[in-house]
Amino acid sequence: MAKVIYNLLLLVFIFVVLWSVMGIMAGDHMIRKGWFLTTGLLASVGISFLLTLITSIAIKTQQNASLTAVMGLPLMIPMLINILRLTAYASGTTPDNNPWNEMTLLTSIITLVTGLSLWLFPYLWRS
Amino acid sequence: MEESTGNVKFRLAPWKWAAMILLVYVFVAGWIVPLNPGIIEVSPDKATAGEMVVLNITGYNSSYVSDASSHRAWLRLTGDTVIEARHVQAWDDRHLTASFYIPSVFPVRQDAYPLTLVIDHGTEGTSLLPNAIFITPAQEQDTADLKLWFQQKITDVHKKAGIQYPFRNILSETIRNTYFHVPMWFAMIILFGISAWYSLQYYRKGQIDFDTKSVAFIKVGIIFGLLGLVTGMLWAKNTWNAYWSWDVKQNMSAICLLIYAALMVMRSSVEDDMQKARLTAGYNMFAFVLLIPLLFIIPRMTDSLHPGNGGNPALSGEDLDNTMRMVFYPAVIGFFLLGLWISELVYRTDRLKRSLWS
Repeated sequence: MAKVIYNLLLLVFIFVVLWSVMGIMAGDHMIRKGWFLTTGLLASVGISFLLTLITSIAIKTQQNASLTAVMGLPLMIPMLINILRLTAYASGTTPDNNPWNEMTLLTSIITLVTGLSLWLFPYLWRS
Repeated sequence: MEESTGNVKFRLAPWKWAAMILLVYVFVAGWIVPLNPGIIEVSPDKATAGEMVVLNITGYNSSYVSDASSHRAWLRLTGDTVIEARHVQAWDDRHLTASFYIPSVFPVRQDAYPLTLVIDHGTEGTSLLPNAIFITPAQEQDTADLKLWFQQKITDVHKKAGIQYPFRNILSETIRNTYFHVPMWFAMIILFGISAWYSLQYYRKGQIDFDTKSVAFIKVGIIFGLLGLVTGMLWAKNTWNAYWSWDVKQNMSAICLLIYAALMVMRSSVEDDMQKARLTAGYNMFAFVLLIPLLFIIPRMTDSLHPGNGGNPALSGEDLDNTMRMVFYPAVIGFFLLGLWISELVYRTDRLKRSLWS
C-alpha cells in the first residue's frame, strides 16, 4: 500500500514538474488546462495502481524486470489510448465532439483498476 | 478401477453429440447453400444525361437465359424516382444488356448523379448494384424530361424460391465467413470468462485443481482467439484489401491475445506451483476485467472499418437475414461447445501430468 502511495506521489510529482518545465521552456500550449490537469492526475492514479500490481506479480518470478513490461504494457494500452485522446483534446489538436464520453470511460477504467488492485494486493503479496 | 478391459463401452455426453451435430450442420449448410444472384459489374460506369446508354451487366450466380422475356431493369435515383429500361436483352446466363434513356433533367441538382441498378427476373428474383453508374449533367436541359422520372415505379418484384444467402456487393461469397469468424470470438470471450470464474474459485478456496481448470480454458481461449484473428485477416484481405490495416478492432484483439500470452510467459517463469497458481489467478481476473473496455468500448468510440464500430451496423437485417440466422446461431453454440470440450480434455491431461510428475 505504501508502495502505491509512493508511486502515485512520484507520478504526480513528475507530471507537475514536466508540465512546468515544458511550460517555461516551450510555452504552455494547453488550451484547456483544467482538462489536462484532471487527465494527468487520473492517469497518475491509474498507472501507479496498475504497475504496482503488475510489479508485485513480476517480482515473484525469475525475470522480474522484463515481465513487468511484458505484462504491464498490454494492460495499460486501453488506458493510454484514452489518456492520449484526452490530452489531444486538452491541447486543442483534435476536435472532439464529446470529451465527456472519454472522461467517463477513463474514470471507470481507473476505478476498476484501483478497486481490483486494492482487492488483489494483499492476496498476491502473501507468500 | 474396473477389471473389465475387454469391451469398454464408448459413451459420450449428450452435449458433445450436440456439438458434433451442430458443427457438421454448420459446415455443410455454411458451404453448400448458394448465394442469391447478384450484379458484379456494369460497363460503362459513366454516362451523360440526355442520351441513350446501353449497359453491359455482368451477373453472379445468375441464369439470365431462362425465361429471358421476364427481365426488367431500372435505374434508381432515390426511392420511387426511377427510369425503366427501354429494352433488356439476355446474351447468356451471366451477361445482360439494358438500354436506358437518361433524362436530361434531374429532380435534384448535383454535380454528378449516382444511380442504382435494379434488375428483376421472374424466377431469379431481384438483384441490385448501388452506385452502378454515374451520370454527369447534360449541356442542354429539356425540362419536359423531368416527368420521365416519375412515370414508372418498381413494382411486382419477385423473390427467388428456395434457400439462399444474401448477395452483398463487397462481401459476395465471403459472407459465409460470418459462421466461422464471429463464433470464434464469442467462444473465446466465454472461455476467458469461465477461466476468470475458476480463478475466482481458486482465490476463494485455494485448491490447485481450480488453477489447472482455469489455465486449460485460457489455453483453448488463446487458440480460438488466434483462429478468430486468422479468419478475420483472411476476410479483411478480401474485403478491405489488406490482411492487416491497423484498424482499431484488429489492434485491440491482438493486444487482447498479448495479455494472455504474457500470462503464459509469466507462468513459465515461476518455479513454485502454489505461487504460480496464485499469481495466475490474480492476473487472470485483472486481465479479464480490463478486456471489456479493450474489446467492447474503445473500438466503438473510434472510426473503424469493422462492423459494429464507428457507426457501422453489426449483424443488422441486411447483413444477417433469417436464412443466415438459421446457421449463425447453431455455429455460435457449436463452436462454444467444441471449445468447452477441448478445454475439458486439456484440463484432464494437465491433471494427469500433475499427478504423474509430482
